[in-house]
Amino acid sequence: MANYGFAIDLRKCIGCHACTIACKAEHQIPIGVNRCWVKTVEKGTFPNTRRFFFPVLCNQCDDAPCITICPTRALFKRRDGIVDLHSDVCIGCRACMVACPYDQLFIDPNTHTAEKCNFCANRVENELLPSCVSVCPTECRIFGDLDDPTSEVARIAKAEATERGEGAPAKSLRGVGAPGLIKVRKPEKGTQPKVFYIGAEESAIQPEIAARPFIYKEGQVLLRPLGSPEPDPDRPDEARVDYDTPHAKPWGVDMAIYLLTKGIATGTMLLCALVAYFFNDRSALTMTVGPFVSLAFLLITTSVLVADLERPERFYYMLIRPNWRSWMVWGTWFLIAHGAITTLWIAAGWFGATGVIAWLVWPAVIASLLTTCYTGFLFAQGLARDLWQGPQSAFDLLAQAVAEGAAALLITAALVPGIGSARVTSALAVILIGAMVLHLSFLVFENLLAPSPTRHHELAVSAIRRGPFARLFWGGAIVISIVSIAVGAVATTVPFALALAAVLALAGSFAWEYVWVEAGQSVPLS
Amino acid sequence: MPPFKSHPDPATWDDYVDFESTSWPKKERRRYWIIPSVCFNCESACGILAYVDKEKLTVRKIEGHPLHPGSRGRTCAKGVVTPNQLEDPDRILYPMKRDGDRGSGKWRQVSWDEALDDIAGRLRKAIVENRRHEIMYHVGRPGEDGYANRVLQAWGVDGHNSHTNVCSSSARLGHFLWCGSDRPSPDYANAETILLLSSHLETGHYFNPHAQRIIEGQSNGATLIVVDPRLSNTSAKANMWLPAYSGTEGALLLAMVKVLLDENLYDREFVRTWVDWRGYLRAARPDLAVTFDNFIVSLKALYSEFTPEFAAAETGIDAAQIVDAARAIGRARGTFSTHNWRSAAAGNLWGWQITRCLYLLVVLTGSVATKGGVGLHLSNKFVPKHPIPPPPPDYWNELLFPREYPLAFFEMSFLLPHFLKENRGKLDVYFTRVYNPVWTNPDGFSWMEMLTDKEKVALHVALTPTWSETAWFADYILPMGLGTERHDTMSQETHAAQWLGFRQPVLRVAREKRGEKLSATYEANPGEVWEESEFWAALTWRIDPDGSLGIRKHFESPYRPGERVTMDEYYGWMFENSVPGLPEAAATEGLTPLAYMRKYGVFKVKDNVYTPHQEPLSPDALKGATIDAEDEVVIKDGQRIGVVVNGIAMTGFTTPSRRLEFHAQTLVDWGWPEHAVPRYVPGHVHWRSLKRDEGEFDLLPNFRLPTLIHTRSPVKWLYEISHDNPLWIATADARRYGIDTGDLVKVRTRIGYFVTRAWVTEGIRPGVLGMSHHLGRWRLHEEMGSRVASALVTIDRQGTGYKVSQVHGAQPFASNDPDSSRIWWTEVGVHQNLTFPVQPDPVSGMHCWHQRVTLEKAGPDDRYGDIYVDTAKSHEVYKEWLAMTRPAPGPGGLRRPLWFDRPLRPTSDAYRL
Repeated sequence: MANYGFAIDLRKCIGCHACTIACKAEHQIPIGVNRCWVKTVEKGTFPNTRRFFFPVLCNQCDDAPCITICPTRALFKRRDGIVDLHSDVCIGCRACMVACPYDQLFIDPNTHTAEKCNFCANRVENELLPSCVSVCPTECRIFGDLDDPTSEVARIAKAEATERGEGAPAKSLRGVGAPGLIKVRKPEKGTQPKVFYIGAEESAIQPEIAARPFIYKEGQVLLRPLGSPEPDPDRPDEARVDYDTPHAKPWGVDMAIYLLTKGIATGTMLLCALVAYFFNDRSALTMTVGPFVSLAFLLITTSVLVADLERPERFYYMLIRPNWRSWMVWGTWFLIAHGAITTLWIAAGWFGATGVIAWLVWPAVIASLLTTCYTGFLFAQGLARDLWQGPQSAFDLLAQAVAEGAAALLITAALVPGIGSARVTSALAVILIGAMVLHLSFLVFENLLAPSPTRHHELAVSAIRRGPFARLFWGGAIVISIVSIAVGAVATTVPFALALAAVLALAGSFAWEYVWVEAGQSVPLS
Repeated sequence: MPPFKSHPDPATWDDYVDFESTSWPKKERRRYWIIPSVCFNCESACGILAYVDKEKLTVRKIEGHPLHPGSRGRTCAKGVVTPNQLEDPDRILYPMKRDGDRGSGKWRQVSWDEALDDIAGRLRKAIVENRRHEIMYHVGRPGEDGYANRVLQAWGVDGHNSHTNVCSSSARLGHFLWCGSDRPSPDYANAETILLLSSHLETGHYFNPHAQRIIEGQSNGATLIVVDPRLSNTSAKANMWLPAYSGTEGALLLAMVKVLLDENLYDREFVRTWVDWRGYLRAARPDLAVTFDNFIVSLKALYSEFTPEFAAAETGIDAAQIVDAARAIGRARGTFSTHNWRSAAAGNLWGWQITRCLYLLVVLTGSVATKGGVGLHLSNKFVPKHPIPPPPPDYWNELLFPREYPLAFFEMSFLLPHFLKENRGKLDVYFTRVYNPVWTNPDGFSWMEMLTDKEKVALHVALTPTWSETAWFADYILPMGLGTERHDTMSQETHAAQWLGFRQPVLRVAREKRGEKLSATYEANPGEVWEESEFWAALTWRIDPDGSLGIRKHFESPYRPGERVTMDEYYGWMFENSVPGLPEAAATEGLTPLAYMRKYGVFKVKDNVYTPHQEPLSPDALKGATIDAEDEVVIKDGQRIGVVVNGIAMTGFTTPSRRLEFHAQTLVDWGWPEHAVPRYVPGHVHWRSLKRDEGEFDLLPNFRLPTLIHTRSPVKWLYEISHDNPLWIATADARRYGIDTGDLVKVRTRIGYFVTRAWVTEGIRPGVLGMSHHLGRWRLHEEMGSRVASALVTIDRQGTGYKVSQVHGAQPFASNDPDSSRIWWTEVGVHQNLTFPVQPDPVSGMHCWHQRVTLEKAGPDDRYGDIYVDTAKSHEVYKEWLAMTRPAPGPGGLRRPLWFDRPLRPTSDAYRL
């Protein structure tokens, strides 16, 4: 079986956009979205100005992160290596858009499902070249079988592997041989992309280098990713993008709301279980009202998630067509488990079945922890976003969930007097303060102290520290959180003061969750 | 691995089974007829394949035509969007007649019968009353060869007007004076050095065919040199980008000439054989003996001042770079390819001298019509004979070629409103055909004044596939088909070969394949969209229903005497009788020539057309001829008919001397002796003359975008990519004015101003501003005009002052196409041409596009898209430029040299005053 790959000889590309349009025509792509396009970068000062054209399309990665994250196996790899998509089973969760480091997926406004380039598999099966290859006036696009050593694309791929120090030296390839001449996009992502670029300029192939003064098409800055490098007025020679058509960021405020409501749901249940166990507390707060709050927020969380789908009526596909490599699927089951245990707990609490409660404590703790922390792993599966990489966010999510749970319980206790004991309330206050201190330390360490592992990460953090998210970060996530700690510490026994501290903690948390979601997606990918 | 094909095999075209891409990966099959045609979206005439869905009878997509010799299976973005044009929700689908004041926007749908009768009646009356000069056909891009001209000829009307003098006549005149062929046909693919004075890699005259060959040449090692003050996409691909000040290109090129002469990098034998150096020496250097060595000596003397240092000071390019480029050109002896069409030639006064300087390099390197050199369109473009040729018109229309412009290369089209204002004539029936002068030409408000004046233009018929600013002021709007909706033949000199393309109304062809019989193409096209070829035949029959005027016979069937010719018969006759080799090729497939062309859509007549000037003269031609041994030429009936080379009589070039004319005696004879040889004349907006401290700049308004089609491209996929034309301004200049990208700026010309946004860039020479002429479409009615591409505007008139204000730009709207509700762009550019006065070159007649403008930051009351123009001032400027002319008669009482052709040439008698 073949293993299809692609090469673009940028020395021949004239930036005419024939490929962009041929693709639109072949696949009837609506306006506003693209399977392939051509970015333009300028560099240098007059008269040594250069302009570079950089066509992008799906890399059909060997280790495709979109396939890994897709909860319903709508994305799949064909036997010929092409990454294709069953739009019939796509639920429109946009996780693939978060996973793709190359901004190659988008939601088709006609079908409300994901779409992407598939090397024109419909043509390839008819033994026709992809339409962008067939149309290209200068024949700069090369399509072929990477497993066929005689194919041009295989020789180019081999030359690229040789440059990286892998594999045997490539056979002579006309005009190819200069070091660094053949590249792929973001090899560091480990996705094994199969689109090879000949003669790519650094600032064109790496989206984090060139400044984006704005998209010259319009004077409208809507398309400019907020975390782009800023142009330096004193360095007009530096690379700048003057044409690009990035897709809209996949996740919005819904995801921040999901983080908050889920944090409240899991934190509340986690604390009810722990308080019930360690304090041997059997008050209404831990037995019924607290768990009820958890369940209510869990339902809100689920509703937000389902409503956020482009095809909400297909939400159950996650259950009947699960992809067990996707944290989204695991998360769904954790949410279900959490809901079931919480419901049982409320029933047992209502009927005073303390034996059952004792039996439910550890399952409840585990379900809450998993439901809290899986999101960290889910976000980390969003390979496109360096801000979300690594396991540390799972710990911060836990700190936030604990704070949010404590806050929810304190507010509940204040609103419904007499349902909890003073001992539990003051313990919750201490937990709130402790969790917020942990969360704050985490924010300070991650955003102010720790070195950025990548340029992408650096841009995201810089957008948080002094960019478009600075106000919300400093004023919301940092200052409000500090105020909440201070208020909580001063008024440990005054219910309404505690409730105020709790509200502030929720606000601070939410501010960070919003910043985390937005800033994470603010860095240009293409 | 399967053998991948770029296109389906022609054997499958009659029943091609494709997987439906939109329901993929479900394998739903669709059946198509693949019917070839010719793209109609620029002049390249690329071959296209239309996929006609057999169930729905619609065009699913357009692809390149793999057998087409010019485009070789590929198209540009503009070709692929043809289905967007076909399905454009703002398309005009039915003939419409004005139903209110002209320009009031009130229309009623009429039948083709009604329109034909009314228009034919008027035409007949004008012809019968001997007012043929009041009939005019004004064409933008012809997109076909010879049909419309023949219609006018059949009517006996000298009424062909074109767009060429706003496009390319200075490039043409420059080439023509040298070699008698007005369009170069560079053989880029085989060149060693390529020099472009145009942005040919993105927007050239034959963009796709040329771009592919330029890159092919470059990939094979050719050096690409681009001269352009703007970093075009072509400049971006250059091995050497020489951003000379605009209008100084002549100095740059002559400095290169000097390097070739000084370093002995010229092809001595070629120049000796093929240049009319004798003519030059006799006319200009009577002090010297007529020897070739003396010619070289005098050339060196003539260009001695063009040292690299002089050129560097004049052009702003490093002297060393000029020498490097010259040496690259010299090294490419015989394989030097070049092109100059719009930018420098069309931008500057005396732009045709820039062309002549450039061609001098082609001549010196011996690259004329060689493999890898620059061929002649005369030998590379194939125009077949049409049936029953009518005689040429027997009078001269001075509205087209007035006496002031005897050497104008094409009609003085863009001066028409000023001619009518001066009462030089009037028009009874005025056809505009795919022509939008209100928008495309400079000084559009003068056009609007002309078109709204019924005394000047009694009936205006707009033949157009789409709304335009000009069609708005028509009496009839007659919808004509696009690239897949019409019959035409078309050929271009895309490379060193000859080919003929056949454009077809693919839905009609498909229905006829299904066995239906259709009597008119509009029965198959959307709505009642027709095609011109059939329309003209029908119209001509109604002008002369009984044949008594002798007009009808030209549109009678060559096969059925007395019957109206059908399209099958017209083109069938042409393919049977005037395309060498086609009948034989068709016979080998068991097809008639027409069936062959319906199946393949293209025929290669000749390949590897090189050195046509070395064709031996035929014995017939030599009969009665004598040889002038001294000049080595063949003479017959007092005219030179060929050149003797090594004892062989060859045809030579189509110039009076039959050689390449370094010295243009024609210019001397017609009053321009100072321009007799290629020389450097600074342009009309020379950088040294700019008052920089008063805000003066040189505005380059004449560059195109690779994604747009002049006025035929208001379609969603193209506008999604390109919808705005900000003003390019160099960083250094922007800083002086405190202008940032996106800021509103006001640009003043002699006759008005416009307000647009700035784009600050390092991609343009300081002192020069750039603005693409492709955008800034507008409409006066919310729903009559392209909503994808135009701004709704109001026009306020105060006397001769006009103020345009934008009400809104593009915005989403509901239609059958869900995409129309997804339009995300708003600003659609600013129409700068309105604010340009006419600036006709006194020799070539070319409008000199570059503008001397004053830049300022926009004031508090200025809005994006504001335009102001005073047409009284524009008429003043017209008179200033008119005063520069040196009118006919020339020698022998001629209006125009006899060897200067015209697009529709009248009798030679008509050339005499």
